[in-house]
Amino acid sequence: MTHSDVAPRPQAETPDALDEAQLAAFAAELDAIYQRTMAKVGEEDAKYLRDLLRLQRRTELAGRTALQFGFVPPLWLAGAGLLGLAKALENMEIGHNVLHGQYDFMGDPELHGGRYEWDWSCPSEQWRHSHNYLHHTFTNVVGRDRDVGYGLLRMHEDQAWTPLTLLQPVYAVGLMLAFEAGVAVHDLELNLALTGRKPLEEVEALGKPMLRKAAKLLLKDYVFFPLLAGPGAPLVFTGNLAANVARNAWAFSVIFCGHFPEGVEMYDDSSLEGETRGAWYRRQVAGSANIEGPRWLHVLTGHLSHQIEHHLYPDMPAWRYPQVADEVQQVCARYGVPYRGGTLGNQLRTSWARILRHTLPGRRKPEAEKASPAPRLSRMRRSVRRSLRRAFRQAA
Amino acid sequence: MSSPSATHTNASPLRRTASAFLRTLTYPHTPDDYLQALRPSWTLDRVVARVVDVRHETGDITSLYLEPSRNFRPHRAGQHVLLTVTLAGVDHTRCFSLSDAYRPGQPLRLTIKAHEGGRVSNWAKNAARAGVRVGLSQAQGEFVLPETLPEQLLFVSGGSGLTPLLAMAHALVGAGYRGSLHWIHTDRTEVALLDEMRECCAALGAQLHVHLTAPTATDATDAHNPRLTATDVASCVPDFAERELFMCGPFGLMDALTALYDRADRADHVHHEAFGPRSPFVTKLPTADGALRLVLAKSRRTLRAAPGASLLSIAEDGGLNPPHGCRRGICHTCKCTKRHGTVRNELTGAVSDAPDEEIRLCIHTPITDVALDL
Repeated sequence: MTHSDVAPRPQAETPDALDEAQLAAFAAELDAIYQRTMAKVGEEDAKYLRDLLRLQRRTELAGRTALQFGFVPPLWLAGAGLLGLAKALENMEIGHNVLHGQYDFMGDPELHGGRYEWDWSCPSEQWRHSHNYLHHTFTNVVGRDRDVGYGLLRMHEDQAWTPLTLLQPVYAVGLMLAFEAGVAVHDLELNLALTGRKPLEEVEALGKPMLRKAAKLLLKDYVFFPLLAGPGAPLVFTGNLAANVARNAWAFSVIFCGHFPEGVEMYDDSSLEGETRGAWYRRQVAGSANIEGPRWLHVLTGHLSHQIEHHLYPDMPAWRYPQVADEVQQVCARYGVPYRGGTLGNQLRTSWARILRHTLPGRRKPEAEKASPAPRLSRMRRSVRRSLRRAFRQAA
Repeated sequence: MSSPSATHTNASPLRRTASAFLRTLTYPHTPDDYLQALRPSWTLDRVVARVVDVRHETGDITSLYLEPSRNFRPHRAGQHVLLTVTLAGVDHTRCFSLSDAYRPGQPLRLTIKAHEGGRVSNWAKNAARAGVRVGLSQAQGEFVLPETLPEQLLFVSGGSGLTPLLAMAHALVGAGYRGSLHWIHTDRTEVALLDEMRECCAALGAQLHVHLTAPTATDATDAHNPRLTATDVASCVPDFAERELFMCGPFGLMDALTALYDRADRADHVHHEAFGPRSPFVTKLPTADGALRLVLAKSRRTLRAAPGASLLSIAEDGGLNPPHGCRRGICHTCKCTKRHGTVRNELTGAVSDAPDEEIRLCIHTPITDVALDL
């Protein structure tokens, strides 16, 4: 099938809109982009990662050194900022991407997806299962992809509502500030264990290595580095805390903007039955959303701002996503697959809107929304603004 | 580059404590990750080196002179190192014997024979230049002279297998060895470092026997001169069984000599270093039916394999790049858990069907379908 045979389908909002042959052609075009790009991977990518590693480590050294002299207020501020920046780079542009095996080709055992250990309390081994496997395979399938609400937030009508869901905005702010701990706990599926749906032995088996790692990281940031500063210990402690919280809020924001802005599709188990490669690709595109912005923003998000490209090609060196984005978007447009994106502000606003909307019980009427999205949105926007203000007042 | 090595047994307690403390402060990374970000040559655990000289010995053989970082521990003659070079962004690690004894303050020497398709060995021959940085490991291996030098020694080497023995010869010269040494070396056309071998032997009053199988370059067939056999060694050095044997050369010759020593009930006086696997591995997969399956659990891939191909090369042909180093079973970088299936160790010939067993991918070939934790 050639491209011209495929009529543009502006309102192709369901997978049924593309037939088998169209999905196969869609997959073939996306595969071709992948193969063409991966053939280029080599020296340039290795240099990118090595330069970034050097920058990240120097930034971290500078931040931690400045915090040792935190009694000079500008140094405290600079130190916490640099350390937060370094941690964001390590977790997102380095750790997350290395753990996907994007840089395995370099043959460096320490930068290998199967061996790298990152500055994040969730051990790499468990992350590779919950993220690389579960999240990337079952993206946005409610009940399968545990990143939908992180076992804490109700992000979709199909998720059960309880009176406790009314406190969701508070949980969301809590999860944002303590995202590192939230992700670790989410991997343990503590919520399932507490309700007896997961054997406690399993939680223990996962929990022990996690606690061991978390303890080492906590001791480093909150005991050893503060002690090094002697009388300046409280300032190092607060500086490290500020850096970690800032990094948490940033990671939370980027990740929620990846899958939960307005319009991003959610799925149920039925979408997995006999799902072809084309349908899987379609779900990855329609279940993700990009963030538009300058290059430094992409680097700071670990190129998760190109969430769509990342979900199509998780093992492609992430800095190449901007190179392929135009082409991917054109292919999606040709097949009527919704390719969503927006500025950071817009994506944040609509992601929080989703969190707040599902605080209240009830199912949305999908037909009604499709027919007249505009008035609904503006009505919602008003209620969201009100709720947001309320949520932030509560958090403060 | 190479993984951080365990805390040195011979480091001072102060240095050990400082090192442990720095590791705590840099967890989950290493102190070297931060030190090298400031200056590539600053390391605590990782060994790095700078090429200071490149000398072309004979056609295919090149000596690299390396200035290692200060944490390099003196090697014993006969040991080897893992050399890591980065080519087009990709790290390649191979094992090479040090071809000289340790001399404080002097560069290390690796003598490398370029072979067809060998990325690192051809880099050494064609592209290595003074000033280039490389990764290195501490010296390793048990192919070393005993602390108390034996009265009578026999060295047998073939081709580039002379390198560890040349280091031993230098060590013997340095130690003022007064015993008796015979050195039998076999090569195809010409011998690299022959002058140096001769000088060492002269200083030791040792006998050097050189056996060329293809004396002229134009007539490079093995038919011209037969291969060196164990019988040749026995007739050349009649009291061979009285001697402590150190050998590094062709497998057939080493097997036959081991058998001779066995018969003389002197098996524990044989020391050998193996260069490469017993049989060359198939690297291209046949398309014919009957291929075995290699199931990779972590990457959720199933690859077609054929008996005879190493697990590492099957994975590589399938587009994966598992961590690996020497490709000859020495460095254990490619160690991986085999979930189930039967494999053969091509170095030892041992067949194993144990589940959940740690194996080295580079020297194991599948006999049945195999599932790996990869």
